Amino acid sequence: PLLLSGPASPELPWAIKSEEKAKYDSIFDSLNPVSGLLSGEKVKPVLLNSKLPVDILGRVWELSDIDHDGMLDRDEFAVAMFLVYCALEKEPVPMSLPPALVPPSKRRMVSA
Amino acid sequence: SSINRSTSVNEPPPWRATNPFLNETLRDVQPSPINPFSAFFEEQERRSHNN
Repeated sequence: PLLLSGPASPELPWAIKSEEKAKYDSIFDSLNPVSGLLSGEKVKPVLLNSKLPVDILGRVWELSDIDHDGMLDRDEFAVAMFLVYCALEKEPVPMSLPPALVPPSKRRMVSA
Repeated sequence: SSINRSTSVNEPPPWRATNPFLNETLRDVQPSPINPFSAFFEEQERRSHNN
């Protein structure tokens, strides 16, 4: 009964593990974020390096820019990177962000 | 002379204007020297060589 609580539980562990997060954070930092945010212009060329089709990357962006401000913060960027790696592994990119992928810092926003 | 290729995409993608991956904005993208996926591609190549 400890696992499998409700699907949108705030206790749900984030799908991005801490060692992955550390890796994505260092990429994030190397892109010179401004006040903790990366613009689409900065993120786009990096994601294009994945050689994925633009429509896939567009969906990745749509899912990871959770607050739709056109910028990615540290957590949103990690979601974007996670989804790109999923797509590279031939995993389909979901149409909507699974609850486990929503960064814990954003969950209140999404469920509100 | 201007190239008037009206790209008649009848349905605009349902993404919001904040999405940098809309077709219009893809033109002058400079490739980034930061490629976090290069290790992935190398690994993939190694795998395909082994098969």
